[in-house]
Amino acid sequence: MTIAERLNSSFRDPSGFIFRSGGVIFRQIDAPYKADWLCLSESGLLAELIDEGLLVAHESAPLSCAVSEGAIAVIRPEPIPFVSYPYEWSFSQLKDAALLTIAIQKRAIARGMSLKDASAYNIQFLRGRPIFIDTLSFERYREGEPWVAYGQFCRHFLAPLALMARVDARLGGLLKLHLDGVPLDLAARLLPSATRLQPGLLAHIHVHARAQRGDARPGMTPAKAAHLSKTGLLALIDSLEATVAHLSWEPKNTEWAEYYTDTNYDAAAMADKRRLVAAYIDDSKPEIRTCWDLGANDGSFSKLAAEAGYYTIAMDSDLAAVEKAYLDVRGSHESNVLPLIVDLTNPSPMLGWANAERDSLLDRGPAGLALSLALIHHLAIGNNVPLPLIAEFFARVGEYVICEFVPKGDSQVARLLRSREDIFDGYHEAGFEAAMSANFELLRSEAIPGTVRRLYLFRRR
Amino acid sequence: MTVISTFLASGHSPLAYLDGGTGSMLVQAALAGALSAAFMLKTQWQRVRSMFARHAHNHNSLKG
Repeated sequence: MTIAERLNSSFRDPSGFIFRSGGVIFRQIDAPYKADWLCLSESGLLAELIDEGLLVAHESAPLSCAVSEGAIAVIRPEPIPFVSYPYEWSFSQLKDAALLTIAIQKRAIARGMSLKDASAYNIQFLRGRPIFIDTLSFERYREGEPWVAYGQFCRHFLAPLALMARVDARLGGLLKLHLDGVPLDLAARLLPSATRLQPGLLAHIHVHARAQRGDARPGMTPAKAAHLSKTGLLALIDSLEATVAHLSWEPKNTEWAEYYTDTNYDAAAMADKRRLVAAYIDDSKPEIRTCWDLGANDGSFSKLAAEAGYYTIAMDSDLAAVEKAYLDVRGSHESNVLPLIVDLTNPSPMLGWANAERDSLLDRGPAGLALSLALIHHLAIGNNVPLPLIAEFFARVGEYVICEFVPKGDSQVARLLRSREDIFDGYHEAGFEAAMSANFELLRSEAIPGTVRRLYLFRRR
Repeated sequence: MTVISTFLASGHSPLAYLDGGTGSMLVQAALAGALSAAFMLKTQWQRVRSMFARHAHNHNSLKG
């Protein structure tokens, strides 16, 4: 008998919930949502959003699949190959997710509906583009009602984007601390005063934050529904869209340039490395066709895995590298690479209610294949992680591991050791091979021509 | 503020599970008033431009 498991990320909205049964994701739609569900379908909005690739497609499932009483329908949404979270997205990923939310809200209003929430967690990435995944986020629009999700949109999208663009891109990490978005009073305090001269940021962050001060004041009249004409609502949405569209972030030119030049490879050695990595990918035969490219930099090797048919998560802690990788994926319509901001020395933990609402990075694995290219010295020497612990981590991540070992003779390692004592006696090829042998079988190993580095292919025992 | 608050009616959708926040509602009402006129002008202007663009396109198609 198949056991259905209700997902911990889906409990707030009484309209329905997500559950997993037999490894398949379903969404149960409950009776309170009946009228809105009919309207979503009959208004043509559902078909329009799915046809345009803005909303995840679904198939109807038998009502007998429902896991609790009160269901009016069960649907089976198209699977998302890897669930990611806003605190793992680069600036442009979050911006595209914001603009998608606005685009959907405009279409919804045109069809007599409105988004009842504007959570960044309603967006995932599929085939290289953001897509809305919460089919139950729509309610019938009532003329005169304001947008109940306006505050949420500003916290989840506008505030972090403004902070990343106008203060420091690392402030996107605040979304990990504040799961319901960056509090507007905090954003207003952190933003430079010059942002008060920008009408959009002045209105939607600074004035908005000030207006929220009264929320907790005793005696404040509850304002469940301020009067807002349809034109006023459209004007508000239009202003939000313009404000988001106006925000931009570009790493300094020198940082961009480093991704092309700051390697230990000349063109011939790089070509040899690419050839070897492609051959090792070809020799890997995991059942799970996903690849985690750990320390992917700008994702150029992720593309090799993608070309070999792997859905590849290009992880890097460098915001500029992930931004560059995403812009490349978007520009080239690459559908099998998802760049994400991941600090392997402190990967995303379990977060939210009961520590179970958002999965940790490792809970979203394992992958079939892990790439660890020009990474191990950063973990072993840059972060003092002993080689056996790195090997254990690899064993949790992937069935197959392609690892480039960077020895002490390499100038990148010399740079890491320049300002510290070398306490890493066991950091050499033999030490690495011994550490990996506890969990892995060595399938292949070759020196990378023109370098002192060595490439390995392992399979987990 | 009190004056504005008192004209606000209650009775939002029963499924609105989010707390929209009083401040967020008030700001919307105020902003909408300020933005509406410019928005209407903008949409009318876009309508006129697209009409001319369509006219020019049709004209060129006929010539072609």
